[in-house]
Amino acid sequence: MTTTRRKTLKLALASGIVSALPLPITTNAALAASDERKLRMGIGLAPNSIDPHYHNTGQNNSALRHIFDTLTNELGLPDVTPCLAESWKMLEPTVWQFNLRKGVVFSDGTPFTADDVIFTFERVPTIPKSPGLFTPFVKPIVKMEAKGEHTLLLHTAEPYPTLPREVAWIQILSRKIHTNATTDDFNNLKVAIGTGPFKITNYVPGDSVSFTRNERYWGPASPWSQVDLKAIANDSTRLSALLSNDLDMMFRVGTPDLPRAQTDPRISVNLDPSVEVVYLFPDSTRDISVNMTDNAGVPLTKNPLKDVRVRRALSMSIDRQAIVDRIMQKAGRPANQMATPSMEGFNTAIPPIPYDPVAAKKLLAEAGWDKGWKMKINGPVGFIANDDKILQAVGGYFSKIGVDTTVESVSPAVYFGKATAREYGVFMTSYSGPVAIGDLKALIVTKDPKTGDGPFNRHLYSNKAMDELVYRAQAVTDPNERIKLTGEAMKLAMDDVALIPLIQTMGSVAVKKGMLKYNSVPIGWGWAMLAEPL
Amino acid sequence: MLRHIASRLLQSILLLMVISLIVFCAVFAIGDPVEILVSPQATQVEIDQTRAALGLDQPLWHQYGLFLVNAVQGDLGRSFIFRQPALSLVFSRLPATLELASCALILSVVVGVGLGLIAALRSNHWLGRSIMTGSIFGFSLPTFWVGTLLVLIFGVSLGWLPSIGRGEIGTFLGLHSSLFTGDGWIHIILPATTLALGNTALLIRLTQSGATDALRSEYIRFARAKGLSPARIVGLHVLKAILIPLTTVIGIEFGGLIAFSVVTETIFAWPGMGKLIVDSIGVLDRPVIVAYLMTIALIFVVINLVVDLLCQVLDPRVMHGQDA
Repeated sequence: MTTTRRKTLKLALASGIVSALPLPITTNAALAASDERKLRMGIGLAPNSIDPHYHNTGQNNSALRHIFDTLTNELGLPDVTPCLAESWKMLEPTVWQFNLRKGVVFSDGTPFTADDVIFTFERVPTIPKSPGLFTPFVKPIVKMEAKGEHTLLLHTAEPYPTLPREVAWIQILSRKIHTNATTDDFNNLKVAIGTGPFKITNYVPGDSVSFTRNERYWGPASPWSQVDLKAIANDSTRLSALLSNDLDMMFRVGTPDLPRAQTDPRISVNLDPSVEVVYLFPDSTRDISVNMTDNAGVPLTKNPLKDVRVRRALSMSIDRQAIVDRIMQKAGRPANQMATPSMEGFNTAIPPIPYDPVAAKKLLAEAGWDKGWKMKINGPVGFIANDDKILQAVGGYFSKIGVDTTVESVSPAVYFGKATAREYGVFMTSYSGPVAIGDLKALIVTKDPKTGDGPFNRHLYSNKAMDELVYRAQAVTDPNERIKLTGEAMKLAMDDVALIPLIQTMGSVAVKKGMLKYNSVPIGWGWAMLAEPL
Repeated sequence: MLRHIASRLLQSILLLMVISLIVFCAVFAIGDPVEILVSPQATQVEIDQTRAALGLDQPLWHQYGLFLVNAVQGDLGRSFIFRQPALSLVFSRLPATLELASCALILSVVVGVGLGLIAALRSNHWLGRSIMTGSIFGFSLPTFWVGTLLVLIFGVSLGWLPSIGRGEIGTFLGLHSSLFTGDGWIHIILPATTLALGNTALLIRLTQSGATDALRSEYIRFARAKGLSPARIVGLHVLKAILIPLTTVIGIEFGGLIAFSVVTETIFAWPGMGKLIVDSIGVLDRPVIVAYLMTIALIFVVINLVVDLLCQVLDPRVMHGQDA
């Protein structure tokens, strides 16, 4: 009995080993020639789809620009630059003409024409079950006309001087290739065909995307024959990957690693301005707010934040430079408004917000709050770099001028729902332009569900004079006039302390020394097109 | 036997339903996925549209009912983020996690049982004692610390092994796995070692205590008296004696390795299920969370069933006990 069982087990084991012996196995082919240049980029988040109209997120927009183009390029700079559109001009206040580049083909040879743009814009609002459509960008357009193959006329309902900025967000598809294409068709790469400098070869959702050079690209051929984007969420792991030569470059060096990375001989680190402003949103509208009690613990029956002097005092109590130097390890700059210097509409006349706790205390006394009060402020953790630490610092500064502050940081999954439901009194978050008027329209303009204005104006701040300036700025055709009006609106909002700006963050890029140079843009795209081999 | 298996399967279906209900309610209670998903430029109209499109504007019982109806047809919904079927998303990441878990398991069994036997045989020797002390480090040191340390030493400083990712995938008999390529093995060494550490320690201690007991038993002393070689005594008789408890623990541990390789996968950017679930929880991608947890529950059930059957095969006393 035992012998038979043992014999059977032996036989099973033996046959298992034999069948696992190396028989001819195949591997996926990697690169072709060995003198071709390969670039391995480490990013934080991978795109969640290959359909460029599926979800408006930074990671999708950035990664998919390797295979698709837009009419114009939005780089977070004062002007948009040409891409598939060579030039554009406003024929009438409600009609824009775009002159398209000639000789452009999709990577399978299909020619690109104005009709493709019309098809693309029509497709944008139709994506089913998208978690975030691109519709806001094409909504102003009421009629589209193709005059021949390379001229496009876009009609808007009202004068829309900033239309060239809006179209920069829509990646262009082909009517011939992409009619009836579903998001699934893109995700299994069947129709992932664009006019961009690369073609896609592989996609693992949430993990990586791989590209190969598009030989039919209309622009200068990329020096990189293969590009791999690898998503590594953990900042330290991403840095280790670069240091151990598993990557050639990476974005965002974690703050604790920054000092060490800047002195490591194997890599070089650049800090670049971004368009992100971290800010506090005080509840200045409700008569009685939440999370505020007097010093004895009795909930307040008045809202101290309704008084602009109180808001100004709180803003002045914060040492922004110290936050930048010690928490961000100098990867940032103090912010004095809801825009960064490279953005269109940044008001250079607004002075820096002084760090003056003495004057802050005086202002509080003037407003009748010299005894201070107790409050809890809220922030996310893991959403902005060092967000929990910044919030703690802010709480500390408030406490120093007599407002006894506790902080609460929760994960973004929980945070934003509560913030929108106004369960918070003062809460912290960030916004990334890329134009100053965008910040104003999203955060400070009176919230109106009908027109869709002020979607993130969570505390329902309303300043009619400022709204007026913003609407005028939007409608005016002269860019200088627009910049001036935007600046005025910004000054009004900041004088009234609608929001308390804290810091501008800076993006960091680390590259293998001597291998390449990365030319960052303020909006923070992670493009192989910006990597120059040395 | 067949009835036993059938009843176990029925139990597991009930278990899966309960799990899906709990997860559904839990994710609902945490927060609103729409707030996280929607773009900064979206208007209120778009936010409402998104909510309706994802079915999140319906009451909870309605959403769960819809989920059940689809679930019995094999459709666990589509990821809110990726728009791909949640179940196929989870299954597409399963091979990577299985590779990692299997390697870690084999490593921990070979090293753990081996060292455990040595510790039992040389219990009064410095070798045996140092193995037992060393095993304490195995389950006290946190995985993320060990993993990061291994990366720093072998990846960054020495540069011998890659610090992230999974190797190239090879095909063998129609199966795709990175274990079929040399590059794959180089990539799996560090993560498998990190993952195996806690298990190895556990198995060392378990084997040592079981083997010590077995070595003291009557029949071992009889075998020694009869003149059997030490190799045969240890390799066959002692091993067989400890195999039952060992198999049970290994089975449970294997389930744990598959389900909780999250930390290791995050450190090494290993594209497995653990990383998927962490990302999904962060953005409240409910369909994926539900699909993942139900898959894990199923895996645990299957493993437990297999372990039970294996124990019956390995220990004839159990089978004979049933007949009598």
